[in-house]
Amino acid sequence: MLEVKDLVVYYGKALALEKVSLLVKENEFVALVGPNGAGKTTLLNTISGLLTPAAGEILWNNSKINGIKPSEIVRLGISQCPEGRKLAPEMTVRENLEMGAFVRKDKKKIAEDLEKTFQLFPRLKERHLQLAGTLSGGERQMVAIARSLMSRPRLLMLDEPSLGLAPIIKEKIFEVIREINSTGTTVLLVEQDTQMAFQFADRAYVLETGNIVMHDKPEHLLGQSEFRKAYLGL
Amino acid sequence: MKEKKLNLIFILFWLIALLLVPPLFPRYLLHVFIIAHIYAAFALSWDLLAGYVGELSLGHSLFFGLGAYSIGYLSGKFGVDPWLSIGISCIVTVVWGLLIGLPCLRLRGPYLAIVTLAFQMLFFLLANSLYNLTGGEEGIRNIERVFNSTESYYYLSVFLVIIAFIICYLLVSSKYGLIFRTIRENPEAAEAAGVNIVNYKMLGYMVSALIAGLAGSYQALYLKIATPDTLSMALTFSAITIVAIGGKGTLVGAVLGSYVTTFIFDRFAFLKDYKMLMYSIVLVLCVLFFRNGLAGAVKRVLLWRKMGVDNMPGGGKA
Repeated sequence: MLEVKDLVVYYGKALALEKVSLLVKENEFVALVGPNGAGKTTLLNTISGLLTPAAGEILWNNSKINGIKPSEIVRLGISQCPEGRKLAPEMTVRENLEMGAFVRKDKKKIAEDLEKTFQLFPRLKERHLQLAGTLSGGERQMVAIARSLMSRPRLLMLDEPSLGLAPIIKEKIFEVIREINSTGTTVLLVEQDTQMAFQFADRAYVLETGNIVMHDKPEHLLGQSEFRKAYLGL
Repeated sequence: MKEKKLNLIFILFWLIALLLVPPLFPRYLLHVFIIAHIYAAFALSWDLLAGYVGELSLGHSLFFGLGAYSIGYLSGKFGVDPWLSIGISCIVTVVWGLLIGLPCLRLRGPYLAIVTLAFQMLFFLLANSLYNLTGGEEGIRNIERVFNSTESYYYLSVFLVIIAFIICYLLVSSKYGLIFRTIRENPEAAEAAGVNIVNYKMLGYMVSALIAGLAGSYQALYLKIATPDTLSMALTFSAITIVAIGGKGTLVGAVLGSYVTTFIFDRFAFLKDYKMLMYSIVLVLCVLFFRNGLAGAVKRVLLWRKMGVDNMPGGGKA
């Protein structure tokens, strides 16, 4: 479904990604883990069109999509839920969600999806007229995820959804992500909390200083002592 | 939505009140009302851009002046039909909006504010110094009279300001308003949703330029003169003050603020050049103590029961 081939990305002269290749298949739940500064967010931003790669290609259902505008990428069915939520604080929860459906024209289906989203996050239904800036961290993350879903993506890319959340809330968010995945949305997740991500992911990639150093099923990665030492401290 | 109802009620009452003005008040007040309406339309155009799209335009009188001078040239110098002149002046302001907006709105940051300011100052200096072309400080006279009575000018000003209000209102209460506010609040969020930000900012900027130009054209038509004052920085700041007093990002605020300031400053006409000082003091006081302006205060009283004070836009936090 999504294939990244030998992707090279620079920030000015600084090399951020050095020949990164990655594959996400239909309906998969893929985790991308790695330390700070490894290039995880850079990779997502390049896929969603915010950054232009210096070399390599990004294939979406076998056609090349690098160099396409971010707004067009969303239309193709790739939606990114950015790090740090990026909500519009002085707009209501409902308005934030409606904004997520910007690329769609079918009003009836948008209303249906809004209801579905509220079923997924009942908390947001209670607060749909509240300003997003007055919500708690967990609720804001829910709004951010719900908003990305409103564009009806086929691939949902989540950037650190658990950032700064209490463990209980974190677990709730992950369970919702699993539910989203099980209803037919492919998920590419960037996460610092490796343990948590591995409980849910089908496959995982490990990114270190701009290179994919390992990729396998989580249980196999957990079986490697090198990996355990570096990422879990065990 | 409750807010929609409030706005409809406002327009209705406003229109009725305005139609009652000519029979009830002295002729002199009609003049003040006409000026208030011109300022209201100009302040609306500023509020649309600053309060919704989130772009500060510090040289907004550029468009007002372009409108006024277009009328001056077309009707005053070349004797073109005044109504046709208004149409052409609208095109002129929109084209200038396009020329400035296209390069500036691609950038994030204060570039639009700086470039409009630069053009406004440039045009202001040119209008003052190119005596042969612009008449210098004297401005361009001989603009054709279109009505014989002040009442007619008054009714047309009512029409102008209501149309300006309705255009702005329809724009911000539609899907475009949602997009404008998301761009203002969080451009990344808008982009992540698939919005081509530049196109929407351009739309807001051009509508704003059009309304400002229309206000300027009408002032030239009414006063039958186009002077460099229409291009002055003081004019931009009076729009900013009006919006600050009335409440930013509310539209209704621009209208209320314009009535209040025009009528108050009319009483204080003896201050002459100290008027700018007074504007500045009022502006500082509003920003410090009265952040949501008149419209914010009215809305708070009418809606607080339903929404809770903490959940008001801009309310609850400093």
